[in-house]
Amino acid sequence: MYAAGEKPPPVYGSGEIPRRYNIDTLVVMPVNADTSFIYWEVTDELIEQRCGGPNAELVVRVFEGGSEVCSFSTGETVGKHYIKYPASFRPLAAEIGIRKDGGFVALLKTKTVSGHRPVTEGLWMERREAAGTEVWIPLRDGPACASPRSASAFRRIFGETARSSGRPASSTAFAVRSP
Amino acid sequence: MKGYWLPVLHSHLPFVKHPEYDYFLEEHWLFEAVSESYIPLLMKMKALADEEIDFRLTISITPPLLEMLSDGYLTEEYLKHLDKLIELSGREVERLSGDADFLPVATFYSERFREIRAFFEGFLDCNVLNGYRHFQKAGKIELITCGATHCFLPLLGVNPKAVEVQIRVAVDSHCKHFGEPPRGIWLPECAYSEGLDRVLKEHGLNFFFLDSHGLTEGSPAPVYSVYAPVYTVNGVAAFGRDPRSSKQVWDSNEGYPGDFSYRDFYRDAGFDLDFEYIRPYISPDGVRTFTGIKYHRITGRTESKEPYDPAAAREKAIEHALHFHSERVKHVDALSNFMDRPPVVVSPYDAELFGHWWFEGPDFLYHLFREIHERGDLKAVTPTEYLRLHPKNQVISPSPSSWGYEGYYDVWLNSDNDWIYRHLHYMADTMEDLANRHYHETDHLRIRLLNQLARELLLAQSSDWAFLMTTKTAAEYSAKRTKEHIHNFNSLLDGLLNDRIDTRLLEWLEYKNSIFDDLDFRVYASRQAPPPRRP
Repeated sequence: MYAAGEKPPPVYGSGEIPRRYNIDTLVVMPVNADTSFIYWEVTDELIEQRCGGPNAELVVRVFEGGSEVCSFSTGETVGKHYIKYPASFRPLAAEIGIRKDGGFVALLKTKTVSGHRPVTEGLWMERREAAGTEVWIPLRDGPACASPRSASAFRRIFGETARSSGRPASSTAFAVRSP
Repeated sequence: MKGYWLPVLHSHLPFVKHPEYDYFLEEHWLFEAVSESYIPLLMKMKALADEEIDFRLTISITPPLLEMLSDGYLTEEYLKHLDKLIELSGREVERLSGDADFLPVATFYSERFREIRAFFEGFLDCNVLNGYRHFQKAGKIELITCGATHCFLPLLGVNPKAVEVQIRVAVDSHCKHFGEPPRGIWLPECAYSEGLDRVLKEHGLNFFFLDSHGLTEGSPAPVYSVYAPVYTVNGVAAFGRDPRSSKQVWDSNEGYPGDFSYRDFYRDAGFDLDFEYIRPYISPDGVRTFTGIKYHRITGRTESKEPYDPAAAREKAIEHALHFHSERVKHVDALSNFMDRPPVVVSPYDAELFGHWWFEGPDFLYHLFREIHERGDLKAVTPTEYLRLHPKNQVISPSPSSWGYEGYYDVWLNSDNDWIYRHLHYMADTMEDLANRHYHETDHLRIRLLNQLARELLLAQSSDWAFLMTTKTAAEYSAKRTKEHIHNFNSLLDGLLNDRIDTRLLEWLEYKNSIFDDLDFRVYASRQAPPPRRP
C-alpha cells in the first residue's frame, strides 16, 4: 500500500457494467411480508438445448411448499419482476421454463432467500460461563408473570409495536446538500 | 433502581476516499461527522469522566469508518479542512465585530473549532479511535461491530459465504483496531433474517439488536415485549428497540431536535455569504457547500430565521434531558408491574444524529447522564453487563425486519435499486469460486489482484448505495459508486482470466479503494478456510 503523499497515477475506468453475465440464474428475494422480487438470466444456449430454438416464451412459476401460487410469462431472457403474495418470508421457490406440448419444461429452479422459523414455544434458557466456556441450561418454565394472560395485558398496555417509521431519510446520508 | 437504560450509538459512514481529486464533496461527510459528532461526543465523555459521573454507552463503529478514521490520507485532509474552518471563523469574528446579534455566534464557532483541533491533536493524538479505546478501557463504553461494509445482510443470503465474510471481516477489523474481539454487533440497518444468528454465533458474537417488531412479531411473542432481551435458537441474545424513547429523539415533528431554540441545520454560511468572500471555503468549482458555520436557530416553520443563541440552546438541551429522564422513569415504573426483573429500555440512534443533525445532541446526552447519576432510579447499562446480571431469558425466533421505512426490506430493494442485486450475487458467487480455485495460489501479483477483487466486492455491497438511491440523496454518486466497483471487479477479473493483469489499474485501486489492507481473498473459500485471526 501507499503512504500519504505517495500515490500512483489515477486510472479512470469507463464505469460500464455488464448487461448480462451469460449465466443461468433465477433468484427470489423477499421485500416485505406481501411482496417478493424475482430476477433471472437464462442463456440462449440453455434455451436452445432444452427447447430446440431460441425464441421460446418463458414462464416463471412461483411455489410455496408444493403449491403454485402464481405464474407469469416473459419474453426477456434477462429480467425482473415483483409478485404480491402474503407469505414472502416463508420459503418460496420458483422455476423458469417453457410450456410445451401441454406440459412444462423447467429450465432453472431458484436460489431462495428465506428460511423456516423454528418453533420455540415455552422455551427459556440460562447462559452461564464456566472457565471461559459457555454453558446453556434449559429452564422448565419462564417466570410466573409470563403467563399468556399477563403477557397479553402487558403488550396491550405497553407494547407499542407500531412498526418503526425508520430513521429519518437523511440521518446517515450526509449528502443532503440543499438547504 | 427501577430499570435499565441501554443507549446505543451506531456510527457509520460509507468508505469514501478520492485521492484523485484535490477536493471531493463526499469526503466531507467524514470531516463533518468527525467535527460535529464524533469529537463532540468524545469531549462530553471526557467531561463526564473528569467529573466522575458514571455513564454507559454502547457504540458500534463500522469497519469502513474504522478504516477511514485510521487512514493517513484522510487524516491529513481532515486537518486541512479543520484549518480552513478555523481561518474562516476567525475572519467571521472580524467581519461581524459590530454586529451584536451575530458576533457572539461567530466567536462561539471560532473558539469551538480551536477546541476541536486541540482535542484532536491532544487527547486523541490525531486519531479519533484513541478516544473510543480510552473509554472502552475505562469500562464506560462497549464497542461493537457491524457488517464489514454495512451491507444489507438478508439480501445477500443467496450466497451464504457472502454473509459469512461480511461478519468475519468485520470481527477481524474490530480486533485489528481495538485489540479484542467484539461481543456484539449492530446488524447493518438493523436488518434480520432467519439464520443470521447462526453466523453471528460462529463468529463469537453474543448479542445483536432488532427493531421493535423484529422481537414482538417473533415466534412465540416475547413475554416482556422489547423490555428484556431474548435468546435465539442458536444462543445469541437479541435486544429490541423501545419505540417511545426512539420517537422522542427521532421523530421529525415531535422529537426534541426540532425545537425552535436549536440550531438550524440548513442555514449555513456556505450558502448565505457573499460568493467571492466564501469562495475559498466551498467547493473549488464554485458550488456552494456547507461549512458548518450556521448562524440561525430553527425559529419556527418560517424562512425568516432568528440568530442562534448557544446558551439558550444549551438550556433547552438540559430541559429535554430532564424530560427524557422523567419519561423513562415513568415508563419503567409502569413496566415493572408486569415484570419480575427491572425492565431494560433500549434506545438506538445513529451517532451522527448527535451533533451533526442535532447540534445540541451531545449536550443532551451529557446532561442526561448527569441526571441518571444524580437521581439513581435508572441505571445505564451495556448489553454485556445486562446479560451477566440477567442470564435467564426466553427463547424465540425473531421476525425478519429492519429499521427502515415500513420495517422490512423495501428501502433496500425496490425499483430504484433492484438492478444492483444480480451483480452483487454474481460477484459473490464468482469470488467464492475463485477463492476455492486459487486457494493455494503463490503468484504474488495474482494474490494481490484476488485480494482487490474481494475489496471491490465488499465495497459494492454497502447498503448505503441502495439506501441513497431510494431516498434520492446523493443518488447519482451512489449509483456511480456501485457501478464503479462492479466495473472494477469485472475489469480485474478479465485480467485474471486472460492472464493480462493491468498492474497500473491494480496499483491505483489498491491505493484508492484501500479498505482492509490485510484482507486475504481466501476468506471466501468454502473449503480449507484459514482460521479467524485473533490478536
